[in-house]
Amino acid sequence: MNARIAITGISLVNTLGAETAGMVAALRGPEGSGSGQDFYSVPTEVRAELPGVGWRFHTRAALLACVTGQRLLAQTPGLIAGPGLGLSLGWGMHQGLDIYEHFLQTLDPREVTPMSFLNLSPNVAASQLSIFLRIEGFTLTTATDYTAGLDALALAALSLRAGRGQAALAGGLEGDSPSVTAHFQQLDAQAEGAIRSSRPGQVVMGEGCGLMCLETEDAARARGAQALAWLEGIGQAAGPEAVAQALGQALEQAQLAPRAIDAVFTSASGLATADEAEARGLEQVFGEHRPPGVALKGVLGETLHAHGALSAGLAVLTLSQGFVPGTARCADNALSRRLRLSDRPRSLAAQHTAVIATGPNRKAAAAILTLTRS
Amino acid sequence: MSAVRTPRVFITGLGVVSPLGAGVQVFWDALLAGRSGIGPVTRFDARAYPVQIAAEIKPDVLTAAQPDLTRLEQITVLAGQEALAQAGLAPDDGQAEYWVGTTVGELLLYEQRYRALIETRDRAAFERFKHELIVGNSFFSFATKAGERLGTRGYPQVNTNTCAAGAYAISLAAERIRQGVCGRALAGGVDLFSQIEYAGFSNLRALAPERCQPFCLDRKGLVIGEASAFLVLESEAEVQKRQVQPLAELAGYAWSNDAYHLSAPQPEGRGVQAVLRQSLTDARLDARDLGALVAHGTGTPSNDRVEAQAIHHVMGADAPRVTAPKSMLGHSRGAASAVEALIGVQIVATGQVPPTIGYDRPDPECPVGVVTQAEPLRPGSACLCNASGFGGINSALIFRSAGRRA
Repeated sequence: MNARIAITGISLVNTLGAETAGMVAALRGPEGSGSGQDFYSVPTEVRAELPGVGWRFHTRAALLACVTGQRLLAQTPGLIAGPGLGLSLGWGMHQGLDIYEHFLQTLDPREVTPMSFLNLSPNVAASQLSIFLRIEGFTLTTATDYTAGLDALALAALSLRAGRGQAALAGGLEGDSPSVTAHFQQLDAQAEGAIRSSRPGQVVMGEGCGLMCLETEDAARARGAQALAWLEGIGQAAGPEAVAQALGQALEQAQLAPRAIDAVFTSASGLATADEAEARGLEQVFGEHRPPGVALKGVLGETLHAHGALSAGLAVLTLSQGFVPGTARCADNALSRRLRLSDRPRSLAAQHTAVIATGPNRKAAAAILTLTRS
Repeated sequence: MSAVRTPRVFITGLGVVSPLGAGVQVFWDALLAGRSGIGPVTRFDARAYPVQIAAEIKPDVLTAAQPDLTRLEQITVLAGQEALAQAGLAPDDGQAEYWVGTTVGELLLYEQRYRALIETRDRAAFERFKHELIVGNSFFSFATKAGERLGTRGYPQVNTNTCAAGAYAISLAAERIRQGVCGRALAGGVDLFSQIEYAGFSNLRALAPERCQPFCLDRKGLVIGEASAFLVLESEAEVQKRQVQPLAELAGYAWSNDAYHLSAPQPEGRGVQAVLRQSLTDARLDARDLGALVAHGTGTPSNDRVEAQAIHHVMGADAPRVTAPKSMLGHSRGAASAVEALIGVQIVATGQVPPTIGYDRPDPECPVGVVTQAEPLRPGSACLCNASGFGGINSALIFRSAGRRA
């Protein structure tokens, strides 16, 4: 029932591209300079061969999910599609907003074509991914909040421990949406958070998909798969102390003390209020022990439901290469110092890392990962 | 099969708000009497549509509810309150995890505010609302607000697994209890229907013009509906500690995906067959241990045929008789499988199986025995609740009698 959960594959698509090796190199930077580049969130141009697909992806999000999933299965050749494979995806309703408004302007039923109707459903990306990769086990879409990328990992772990599959693809997804971007750009980012926005006073949006292959330790061993990392614990909490509570739960599940954590991949986005709440939560848990932190939204933009999974994936990939990335556009202020951010990558021999995701309804999720090599 | 005993999960409370009224007793009496909750659409002007019927929750259900909540929040809280009260739990108990299944969350609210904008031309007000909806992720924050009112513990988990969302919420909560993570959970599903969904189903040619007739030769489609249904689940240790008599035991459950099509079932029903078999295995039961089956039974030609043939293929002559509540309740999408789970609990708790209405002529391609008059459940038998959803998602739950508390 409490089987250890191995991460045996990582596939990410985001503004840094679709090749994880390239992402790690970009985050390390030329000669280790890291964030010297002025990263800028732009829609990801995804070009990939999708053999055997006789139908169009009607939403960008579904396309991102399928490309990411396809790449993940390519990394895990021993995984067998079918009833033993499950899917747990964090995503929301945003992609449908553009469809809703179009209909609501006319209230003409003919405006809701069958495909646009099906694309309203928040589980459409998971469904298309299941069809595309023949995932016949459990299929879960969680939309609780912008913590969904980590929530999905928790649900996958729960399901695998219950024996509901041999392996699962799990993570988070967000596709570019004009109406979503427009509203986030209205947020008052004037009060400077831990990241300086490339557009002063505005949150910079991103998009992407992060998927990991999760298996129980026994299943991974039976398949001869190597664990890249272990998902030791995930905590979820709501309220004013959400970050501290979620992190505390995760540490308890992992049976680790705070001082065992070597790095923290934060949810900091440059919004001062949210960054302040996160800093406070981390201080409550870590006290005097302050591991180095990184805020990947400086590079990836605000990726909402995808953030937790993207951050967890990059945490494993970069720390396994012996460094914690710098924070692009790191602000030189008290908040960034409290979060222990740096504008430069830092060498680090890390064993355990924490990944944080937060949502607007005072929700937080935290994951503890243990690396298998660094 | 493992000799290790799977930790038991019991149902101690039920709550429902439906087109047949609010409250389990009112709901159950109406179901047994074969009363239909289907009628003309009153939510909006449906004259532009070829079909103009739905199963709506009647407005007077909410007269005593809390006016500061949205309609969706109200029906979520009402059903949750009833379930907790029946379980004998205080409103601020604070120990139950909260698991919610829904398809579209607050989409109706979005639609209503937009239409209000058109009438009042208050663009600023609408943009403020939309801003909160997007930035605050408010399509699904109803669960957070409801959880606060219900005194549940921590972090409500929302899944959007379409028409199986309620069953998934119940299964996931049960799994948390089985794995010893929590001792108690409130789990179920809720959905209200909106005009855009009505338009979507209409353009899929999926709506029945007059009534919903699951498994009937004359069936012409589904009737869209809405509901909220929640169950209190508890571990054996909690039940013993609180000295309560459970309504039923959740004996087993299963999940699968057809991986075939976004809206059509896999023609051979492989995914449905899988959950039927796996749920029986999980419950350590055979088909002949079942006394009733609450079908997904939407009334659409393909779904009913696939489901019936899957039941027949897996269970053969041992297949229990089938009841299809959507004939009276319509299809409430994310809530439907939770409503039907509630019906499954009531079946084993009361020993009565409600009828399917509108079953005028059997379809030879749907080889199942359909309950057309309320009938008794074979003593000692269990009830399986089957659900499927868009995207090929399938689930099955099995309930059996909890036995008398020693």
